[in-house]
Amino acid sequence: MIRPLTLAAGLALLVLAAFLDLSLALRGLLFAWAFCLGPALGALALLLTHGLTGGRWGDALRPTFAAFTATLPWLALVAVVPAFFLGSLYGWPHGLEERPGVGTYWLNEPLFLARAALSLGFLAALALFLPAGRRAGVGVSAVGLVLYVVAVTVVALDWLMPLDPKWVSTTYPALVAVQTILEALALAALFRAATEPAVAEDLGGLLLAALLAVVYLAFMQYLVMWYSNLPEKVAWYAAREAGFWPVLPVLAFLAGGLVPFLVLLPRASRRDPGTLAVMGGLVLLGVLLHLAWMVLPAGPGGWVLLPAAGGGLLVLGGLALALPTGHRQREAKRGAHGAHDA
Amino acid sequence: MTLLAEFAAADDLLDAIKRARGAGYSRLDALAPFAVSGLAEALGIRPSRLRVVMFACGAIGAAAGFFLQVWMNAIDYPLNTGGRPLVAWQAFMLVTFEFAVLGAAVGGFVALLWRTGLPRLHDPLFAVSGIERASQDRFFLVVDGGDPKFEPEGTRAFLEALRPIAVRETST
Repeated sequence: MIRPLTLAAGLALLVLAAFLDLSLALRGLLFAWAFCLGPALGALALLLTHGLTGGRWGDALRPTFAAFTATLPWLALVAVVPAFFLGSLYGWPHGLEERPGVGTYWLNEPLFLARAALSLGFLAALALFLPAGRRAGVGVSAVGLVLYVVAVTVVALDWLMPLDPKWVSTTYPALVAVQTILEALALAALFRAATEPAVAEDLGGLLLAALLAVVYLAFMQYLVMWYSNLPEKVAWYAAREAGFWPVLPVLAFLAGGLVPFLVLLPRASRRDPGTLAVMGGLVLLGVLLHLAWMVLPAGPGGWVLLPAAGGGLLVLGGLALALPTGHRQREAKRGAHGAHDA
Repeated sequence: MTLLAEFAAADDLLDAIKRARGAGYSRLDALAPFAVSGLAEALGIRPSRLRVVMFACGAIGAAAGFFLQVWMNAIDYPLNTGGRPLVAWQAFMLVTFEFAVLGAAVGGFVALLWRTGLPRLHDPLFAVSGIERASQDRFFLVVDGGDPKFEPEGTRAFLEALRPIAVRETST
């Protein structure tokens, strides 16, 4: 009932934004795409990690993570839309004049599309063929995890970092990747995927660790660039210091970082699925704000970004929630029961 | 006098604790060669308050580390490094973090020694024969002589009824 309406409203916002300013509309859509892809990418990493480590948390959360990864092939297909407008989105070869080699050998349309097809295709295939009903094997997990890191690095380096074509950060792909893991854990907590206190405690611990990792990586990237004080590095932060943009990371740190960190420190609150759900929601909000701050202020701004980002979130978020993920969840639950009987 | 019941398996110890608590004993302790899951819950031990102490000491350490740098760099010996502000909080964060860890570690260590009464050179339990196997393969239920329900004969009979390998006692 509400879903077709949400989708229609989101699409209308996107189309309106595209008519007003195609470049800004695409950037807003890219942000929404990156955010909605996050839980699927993060869940994939967690499923592969669980294949190597084992543990109660993975067995209990596999139905949820399997449902997240089931959205990956569909969301990967959505990338076709911005792929048609790469020129408007990234403005190549503008911005690459000082480093012509980058344009010749990396940031040009044919190579970009080839890498996108390879990396997103690989991730989608991994999401499709990873067993939902049982723990992934050690060999598959090890090889999958190594290739996963390469694929996610390529996605972050290709789709997000070139929004500021002169800017390079070696921490950035890791930050994007770990943030997807945080997003998957936060969404699992928000959906109350862990019902038993012991599993909730594991999920809370993982959430806390991923949160620390994201805050650490984001701050270290900032500290290194602030300290070196080189114009092309600092420009990225300077562009995000204008207008109301600085409010976003501060809000993300306070609401999505500091508050959940302090609340989840005592063991009792990590064992309570209700508290965990609220903190998961806050962390998710923090990721949303942080990602918006990372992606949206790249290049010339404008209020068109707002309907574009909002419309993109409505369409892709609604799509991700409406996608047929139930069969993966049922498969995973059947697998869990089978293991119990055996 | 304190009585000990010696068991060969962790489950026997957990079962014995349950029955001793059911019989009304409150000053119980357990010795085991490894961390037995569910032991703290069975004994009714409340979560340690050590982490509260560590958190407070960590916060004090962080504040001390931060303001030490502010005082040194901006007040005591102002030094312009590359045009950066004198109070450069970004650069101060590393030392602030290190001091937080140092404060939490030292505070936790001192609080642990203080709360447990360590270092202790002697405890009556050390003289019980066979107690060294508590760090090898045996599980001991300890009933403190100060327990309100403790009576030398009755408690010994109760522990014997739990079918331990042996019931031992301290000399004092």
